[in-house]
Amino acid sequence: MDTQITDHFADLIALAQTTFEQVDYVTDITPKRAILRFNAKYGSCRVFVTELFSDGLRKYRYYVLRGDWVEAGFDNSPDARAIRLKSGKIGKEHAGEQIPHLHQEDKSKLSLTEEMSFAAFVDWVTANIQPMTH
Amino acid sequence: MLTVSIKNEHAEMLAAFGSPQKSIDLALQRYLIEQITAKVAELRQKEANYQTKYGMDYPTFTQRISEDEHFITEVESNVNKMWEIDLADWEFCYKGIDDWTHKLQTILLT
Repeated sequence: MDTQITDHFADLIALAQTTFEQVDYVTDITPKRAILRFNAKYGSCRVFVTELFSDGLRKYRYYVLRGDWVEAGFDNSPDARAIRLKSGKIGKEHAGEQIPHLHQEDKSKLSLTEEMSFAAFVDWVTANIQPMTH
Repeated sequence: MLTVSIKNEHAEMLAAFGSPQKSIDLALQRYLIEQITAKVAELRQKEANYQTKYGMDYPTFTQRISEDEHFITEVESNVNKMWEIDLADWEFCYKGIDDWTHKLQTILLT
């Protein structure tokens, strides 16, 4: 794995371990790609994070769930709904575009965002989500 | 070139089979082939699981989630609300199979 990506994943895991509990992570690599996946607890919430470095792009998924309810989900997947929101239309010309966006209210609300880092996600979660420990 | 040390007892035995350098190169090549083959098998299995879960192959899934909002609604209602996480892992498996297969071909040709 590229040492920069290795260091990036190590930093990300370290930050997760100082913010969340029971951080359970897995990394994997190919000659051209690297992926980090982890889940963790944040009070009564569950956090699911994936970062994939593939084809020169960083593809992220940062989700917080309370039970099965999606409190917030930041990702830059080529979601047709995000593509329509950004471009006004969907179609082959926009297929596969990485669109940073945020899902809220159990994915019934979607808004466009700036590109998100894991550190920014942690800041957002601690500022906006009450962990409500039991 | 990386330098690694090997145990004396192994070095002595290798000498009995000819050039230690050639023996080590061959052993490493076989080890890498074994490791890569296992990795490809693991990725193929995971990739097959995603195909079964979503009922289609990776290229079709990526096309539909980019172009069909109703399809996304169906997936979120009936298969997985957080399909985006699967999509990233699926891409890693699908493209990773090619990455490792090409690497394997390179090793076999050297």
